Amino acid sequence: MINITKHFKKTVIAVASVLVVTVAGSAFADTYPKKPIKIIVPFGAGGGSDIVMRTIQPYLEKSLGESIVVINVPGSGSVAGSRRAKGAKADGYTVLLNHTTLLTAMVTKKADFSYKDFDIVANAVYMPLVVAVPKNSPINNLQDLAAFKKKHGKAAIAGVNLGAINHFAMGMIAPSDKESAVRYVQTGGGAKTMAALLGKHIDVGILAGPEAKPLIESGDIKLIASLSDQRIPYFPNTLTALEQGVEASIGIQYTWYMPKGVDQDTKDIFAKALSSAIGNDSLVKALTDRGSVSNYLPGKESLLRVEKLFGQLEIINNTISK
Amino acid sequence: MIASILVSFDIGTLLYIVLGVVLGVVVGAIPGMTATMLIALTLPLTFGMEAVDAISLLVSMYVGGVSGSLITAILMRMPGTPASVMTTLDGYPMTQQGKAGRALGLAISASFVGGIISWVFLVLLARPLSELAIKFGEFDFFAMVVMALLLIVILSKGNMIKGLIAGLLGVLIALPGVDPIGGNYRFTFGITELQNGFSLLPVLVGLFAGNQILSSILWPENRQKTQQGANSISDMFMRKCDVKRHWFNITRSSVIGTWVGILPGVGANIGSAFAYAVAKASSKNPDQYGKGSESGLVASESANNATVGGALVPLISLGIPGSVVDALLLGGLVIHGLQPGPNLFNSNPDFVYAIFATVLIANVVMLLFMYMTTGYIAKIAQIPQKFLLPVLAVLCIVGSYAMSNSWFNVLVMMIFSVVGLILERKNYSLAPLVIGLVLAPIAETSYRSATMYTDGEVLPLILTPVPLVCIAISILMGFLMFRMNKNA
Repeated sequence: MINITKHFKKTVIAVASVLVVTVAGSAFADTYPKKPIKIIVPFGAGGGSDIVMRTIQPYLEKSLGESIVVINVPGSGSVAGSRRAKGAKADGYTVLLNHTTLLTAMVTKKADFSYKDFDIVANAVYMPLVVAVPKNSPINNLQDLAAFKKKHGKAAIAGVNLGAINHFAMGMIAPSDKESAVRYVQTGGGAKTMAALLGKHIDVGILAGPEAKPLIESGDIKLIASLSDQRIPYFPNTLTALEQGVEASIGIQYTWYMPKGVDQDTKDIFAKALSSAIGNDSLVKALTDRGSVSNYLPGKESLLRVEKLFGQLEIINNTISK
Repeated sequence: MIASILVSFDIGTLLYIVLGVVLGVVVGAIPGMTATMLIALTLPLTFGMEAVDAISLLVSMYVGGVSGSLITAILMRMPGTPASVMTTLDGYPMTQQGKAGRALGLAISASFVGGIISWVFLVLLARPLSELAIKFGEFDFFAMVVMALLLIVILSKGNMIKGLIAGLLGVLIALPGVDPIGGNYRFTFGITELQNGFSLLPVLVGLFAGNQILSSILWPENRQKTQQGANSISDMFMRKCDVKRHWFNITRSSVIGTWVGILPGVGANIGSAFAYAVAKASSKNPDQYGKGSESGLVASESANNATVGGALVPLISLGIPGSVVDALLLGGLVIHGLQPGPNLFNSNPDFVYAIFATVLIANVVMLLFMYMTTGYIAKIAQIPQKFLLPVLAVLCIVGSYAMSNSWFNVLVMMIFSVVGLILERKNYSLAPLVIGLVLAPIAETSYRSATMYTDGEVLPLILTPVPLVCIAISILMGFLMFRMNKNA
């Protein structure tokens, strides 16, 4: 009998606490978030950005206490999805996850809007870029690349996707003066640039760290620099461009945007949830396994970073679009 | 090796393969839904699965999806996915002639053989083939595409001018959107939706199916007569004489499909357009193409299935995805901690064997499943048009909308329904239009890219082996054609 009462008590307490939590939840309901949050990924499902988002999703849902709906809006090099996010209601329930590509689209005027048309919530997750050459290439570092034209009497052929991030990254490391400039050719994104490097059609190309990894490990291509501020953990022997005396730091930096005019408290709540999700050990490991870095930078610092990078990109655009 | 392939399998995995193939076939058959969409939607669900199960499911969907689209292409003149648009050209006329069952049977067999031939290449020659493929420069691409276009022009009898006009129209349709080089917008006429260009599927669905619906409404007397009893099951299976007649065409088309699949960034629709062009060029009855030619049908279907195995070649041996679907598969593998690349074979041989086994088994399952259901599916051809047309119209609209949740695509589909109707009333063939539409982007990108290597010089590009061979073949075919005409 006592046992039963005890059980009953326990049950009552359990039920009551559930009720309290629920009631408390609805009491808190005038604070954000009180309904599922849409996150627009302006790239196709299954692509690099989509994988990043879906890896983070469960952790972020937990720390937000709300579910997340990932919406893939591919098209026009991420401009289509970004435009949709820009036009959404500024209530904190539409978030845009985009990376450096949005900035290059703005610099090259493919996007008819600016990062200033958004509120920047935070920077989180970073995928490094590397500079690769074919195996047996005479180029072993950025100095060799700069000296290539004088030494070999012809410009090094640089495979890029014209107007895209790998073009800008190449513009940062390759000399632009006439005596040593590289010749840009269109290869396309990572897969096509890898094929062109393997087939020795080009002398140098820019790849994302994780996509380059298997070909580096098998010795089919060679790295001459990484473009991150610090050395990439899985390429510990590859010097950064900065270490080689070349002022170049560019990667696929994910930025979390909201439409302009979202209430500061709302942004703070989202940023805080994102920060605690990103700090979760198993998420850090999951991201590292996929070659990314789970960095986190709050809104104000992110804005400064974005402004600085945007300025650099505009300068490079003037040299590479000549 | 076969033993080690089979050992890496258990019954659970087999179930995933069956599930994948069946889903793939169904989705492939529904216009507006492609294997790519199915795989993209399934991908997140596979994160929690065993790596082998996950990849088996996804690869099976790929095999099923490319195959399933032949059903609607043949029966309703509606390409389920862009990969089967060339199938529409001869498959639907066969249905109109009361040979729906036979068309389905031939197409399924050709799909199977195409899948198996590309599988053999995948298993035996993955590494050397991808070594060869990466040697292919941009101008080699261009030479191959131009050869295919030239062959069609040279060999199109009769309405060469009309063929050229239709082909050019196809090229024009391919132009608006993002400039493949530099990424700027062009010919968008200030329409935001056009910044992505015309999506292939709404254009194709309009040109073929929408056009057919309009024509049946406007000219009811021309409506297809309902076929009764013409679709006996026995027609479905390939007989000895069929094998004798088609084996060379199927083998050639499969090899073309495999090769096109291996080349990075070139999809199944291009493999099938290419094989169709070559089959027509080397046919004794090119006039029959587009009017229900069995050779055209099997060329298209064997080639588009062969691209599946082909596209896996660079993915497995180099870690380079050969198509959009392969990029998704790569994503799926990475999630499971497997990084395809030159070392995958050494580090995870079991896994590579599992993929090989999946492709083989999925093709067998596809063959069995489609044969089992085709008898019923072929009965669609017996449904009176007055019942079928409204369903078709709904499929056209829903399919176009579903592509990217946009009404703009529905508008595009409707516009191209009218375009298709006008063209066919004026006796323009849609085949050159489709070939222009599909091949022009590749030709443009590769030409402009190639001339960047040489700073605008063209001569050094032509004087390399592949372009020279392509030119030689084109001249030879033109010469033979000229002589044949003279003798006739």
